[in-house]
Amino acid sequence: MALVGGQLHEAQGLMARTLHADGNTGKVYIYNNDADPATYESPIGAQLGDLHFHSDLSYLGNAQVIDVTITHPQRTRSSSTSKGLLGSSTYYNPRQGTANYTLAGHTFGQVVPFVAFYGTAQMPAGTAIQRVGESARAVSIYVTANDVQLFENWVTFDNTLTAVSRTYRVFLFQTLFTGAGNESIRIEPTVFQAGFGKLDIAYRYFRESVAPDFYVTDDKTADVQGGGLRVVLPNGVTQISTSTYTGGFSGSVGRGVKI
Amino acid sequence: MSFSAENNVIQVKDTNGDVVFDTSTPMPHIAAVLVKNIVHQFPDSGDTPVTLETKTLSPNESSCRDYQCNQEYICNQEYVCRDVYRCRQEYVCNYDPVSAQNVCGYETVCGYVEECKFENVCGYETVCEYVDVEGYQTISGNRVSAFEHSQTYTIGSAPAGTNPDFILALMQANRTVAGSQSDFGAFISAIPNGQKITANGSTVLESAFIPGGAPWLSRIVSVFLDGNTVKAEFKHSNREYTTALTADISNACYGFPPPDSPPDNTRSTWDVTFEIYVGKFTR
Repeated sequence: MALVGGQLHEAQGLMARTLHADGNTGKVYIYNNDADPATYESPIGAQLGDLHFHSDLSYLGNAQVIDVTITHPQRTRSSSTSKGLLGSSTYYNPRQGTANYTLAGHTFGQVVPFVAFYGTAQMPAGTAIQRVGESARAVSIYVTANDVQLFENWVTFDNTLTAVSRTYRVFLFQTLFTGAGNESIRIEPTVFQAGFGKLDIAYRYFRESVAPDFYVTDDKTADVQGGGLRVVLPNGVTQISTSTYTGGFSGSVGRGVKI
Repeated sequence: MSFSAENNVIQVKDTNGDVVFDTSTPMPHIAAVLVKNIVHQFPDSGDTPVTLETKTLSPNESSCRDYQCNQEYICNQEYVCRDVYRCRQEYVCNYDPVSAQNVCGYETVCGYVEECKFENVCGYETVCEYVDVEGYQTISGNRVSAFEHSQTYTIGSAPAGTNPDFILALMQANRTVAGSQSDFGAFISAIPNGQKITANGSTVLESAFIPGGAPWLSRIVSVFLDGNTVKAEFKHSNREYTTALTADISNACYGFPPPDSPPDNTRSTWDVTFEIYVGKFTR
């Protein structure tokens, strides 16, 4: 086994793994074969698919997971009614409002990429989380420089929206795009850092998994047709398909990742 | 913390023993970060005023009057004066100078005299007057035409040959013009204006619902990969929708008026800035 200024091969099986740390450039990379490390010193194109890690590349390191249950308060329908001009029907006048909830704080000091779950589903932002008749409550999660917020927009017509509890999960990712410090690789009993901090046990990284925490996708996860909406989550599960939807969207299964 | 290299696997665990890095489970890198602002206008779906109901209004409630003329046989008491030729016997005495005495006798004196009296005068006359008549009422609504719309924009591309696997998207959206319907007002949107939300896959921008039911209008934006290129598709769909709670009334005196209802302004404009992280897994 060689570390700084050398390389480590694991080639007992068919597919070798190589960890190479360059003593001159400081570059550290791990790739899925036993080719000459010079091959991957400045990877491009198809070479990128061979790399498990490369200090020249950018990564997202999960640094915070937020699990919060919010009790959305009751939204009472209007007490006043209007009479329809047709027939003898009356209807309650619409009421509409918004609310913000702070789910948690964070210390990134900037807006960072994130993945959000509405309830147990990796739903699109703007999805209705409660419907009673035509009354509806929809939410979106957003991130500021200091915290994670939930935005609620509700509207009532003939029905009151009763108080409802919903659980939200948010994965926040640190952008590890620029190396920090001058340590190419460092291993201590409580420290593992490589690539000038880009690979660090302080973070959790995306790892493809059959028991994923969430999915990443390259595809659409919803469609509209005939006025209706169909949402197929990135795990392939059809979450919403309104009675008015007339299309044939089937979505696609993304890649499950664990962190 | 542990670092191990065995059985073709390089693995790093943290001080809790949790796996941080493992070559047996591909770990992606971010091949590109793309930022792009797009302003998209969802066009108006188009409208048609339609008749929801017609009514005939009674003369009392119609405010309609008609100028009607009739031939009527009318009798009137009229004070009528006429010159009448009348003769009468008058005893007249005239002095006769020959006999130097009055000579008297009856003479017939005729002449026109005016005679006046009330008479019943009857005849056919044309009589005209304004009268209250029935009216006509049309109750109109607006019908939004069914409409499908889609427009795709290019956000940017990853470096050639990357062949990326996924994207993580942030989106900062502002609805600068909000479409609306007369029944329920502005379309419902849960997108916080100006805030950064996650936009992986698709995002529901705004919706409108039929009373008590499913959406009749839905608008989404989807971010997806097309080879090396990241694209954003703004898609709209609405079924035909006729106003159910609001209507316009038109009255007329000479037949049912045509339907007349102001259109719904279904046009919305979204100003969206995308921040896209393009990811690539190890093969």
